[in-house]
Amino acid sequence: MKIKLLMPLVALTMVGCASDFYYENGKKIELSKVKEKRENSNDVSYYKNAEGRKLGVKNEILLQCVVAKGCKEVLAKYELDSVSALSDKIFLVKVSEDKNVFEMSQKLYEDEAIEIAHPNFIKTKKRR
Amino acid sequence: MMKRKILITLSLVTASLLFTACGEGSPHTSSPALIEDTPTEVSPMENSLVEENTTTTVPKEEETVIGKEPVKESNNTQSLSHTNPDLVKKEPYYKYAWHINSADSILNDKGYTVHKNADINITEAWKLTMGAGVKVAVIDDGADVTHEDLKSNIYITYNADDESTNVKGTNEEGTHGNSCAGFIVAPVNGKGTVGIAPESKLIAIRQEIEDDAYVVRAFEYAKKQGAKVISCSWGTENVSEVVVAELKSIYDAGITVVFASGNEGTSLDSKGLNDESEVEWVIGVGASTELNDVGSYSNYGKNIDLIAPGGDTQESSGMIGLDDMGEKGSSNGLDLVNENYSFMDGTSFATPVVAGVVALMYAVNPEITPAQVRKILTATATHVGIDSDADYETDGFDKKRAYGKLNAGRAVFEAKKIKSLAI
Repeated sequence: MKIKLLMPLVALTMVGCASDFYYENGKKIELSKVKEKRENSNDVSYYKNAEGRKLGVKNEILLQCVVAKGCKEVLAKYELDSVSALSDKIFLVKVSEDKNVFEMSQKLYEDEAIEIAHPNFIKTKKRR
Repeated sequence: MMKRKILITLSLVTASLLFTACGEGSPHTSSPALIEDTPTEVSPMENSLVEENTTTTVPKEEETVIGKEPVKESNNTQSLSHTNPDLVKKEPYYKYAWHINSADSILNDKGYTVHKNADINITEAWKLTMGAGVKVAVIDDGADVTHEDLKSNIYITYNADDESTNVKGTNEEGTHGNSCAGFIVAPVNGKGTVGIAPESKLIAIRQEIEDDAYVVRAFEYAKKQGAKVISCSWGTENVSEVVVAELKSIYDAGITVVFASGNEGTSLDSKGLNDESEVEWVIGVGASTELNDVGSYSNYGKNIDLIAPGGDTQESSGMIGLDDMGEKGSSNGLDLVNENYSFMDGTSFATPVVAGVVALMYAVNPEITPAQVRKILTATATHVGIDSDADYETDGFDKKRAYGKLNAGRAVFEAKKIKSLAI
């Protein structure tokens, strides 16, 4: 009986601690992991969102600062493997393998100087 | 019993604390809203920015710069001197190009039904321009740079996936981008068919890896190379916030982006669908058919702007264009055209038709803004499907046909008339 009672506690704890989420358009988007790896690309992990759409994630984050100028300085305080500018405003940052890309993107998003920060997603593109 | 109560309470409190600690909702006090756009009113009575000029000149064969930095263009690229539009009729497959002139189409004689008004009234637009001086980027899975009806109009090529200049497709199904590009820039050269803006130049960008960073890179390259129009016949139904931010940046740079709505015949307003074609900063395009109404396969929704010929190979011939099979040759020639050409359908092909018309609009009015482009395209669109179930009563917008079918003649004429208020 005790075991049965403890199980919901354990389950709730796991759900509550899930770090597999990011922020997009001001909303928290939760993902659930899918057991799949892209061929020849073991660094990609796959997730599904609430609508069942599949998203690939690797150790990269895309972000945009509130003010484009000085964004590199904003990012300098974070422990990032590399920072590269894709445009005047958008940056691609890499985080080390031992870091959780979701937690880092949450941390970056929480920075008032950063407007957008989410993992660099791999999404299925359809030709039309 | 007491222990059970304590355990349940403990569970709930723990879960609640952890949930709060791990974040709920946005930590930002306000959502990172995009800058609001102020649409510019179209003023049909404004003086034209361009002079009337219908001089006929022999089209100049320009240097193709595949794999090299493009040659600097002269300052005179906005000249309206252009090919005599009547020469278009000498293109061998013009007679199948119902989207250009359905009255001249002989497909009805071949057993395929074409409505007499299924075209986009492009011949009226060609009296003003054929797109000289405008660069159009096609972001897709590659292009056949040796194709006889494409090569002379390629400005530059770029592979956004590996940052090379190689845009040759590797997909066994061929290069979808080849067909898309042909619908815009196929020149008047006595071969095959003709594009909507046959004197515009192509920035052919291959971007196939399904990675948001590469998508951003592709758009940035198009901007850097001076594209005024970017045609995209693909989508994810799940566009990322950074990609939307990039599209906003492209829009702010005065570049018009056109996206295909997709071919599932479904509403993009459905829960969970958040497609590129619905983004505020792009023109979303559905497909019309040979029967001069919306295609049953064409996705629709409140953020789609208009429909344009995309054909329907199930019910008729489809659209004649450059083959999408690369060196393998055509897969659907209907025994009417050689293997470099094909009949096809989809919102993929309606999209470059719109992009081609947008190129013509920039040719007659280089200062036109994306907001003005959208306003003109939607205001001049033809209301089709009136005999069917169309209902344009609310703001001129029909659920499945958006603001109607592209009318190139009216759109380019209006673009020429207005004086841009943009920077």
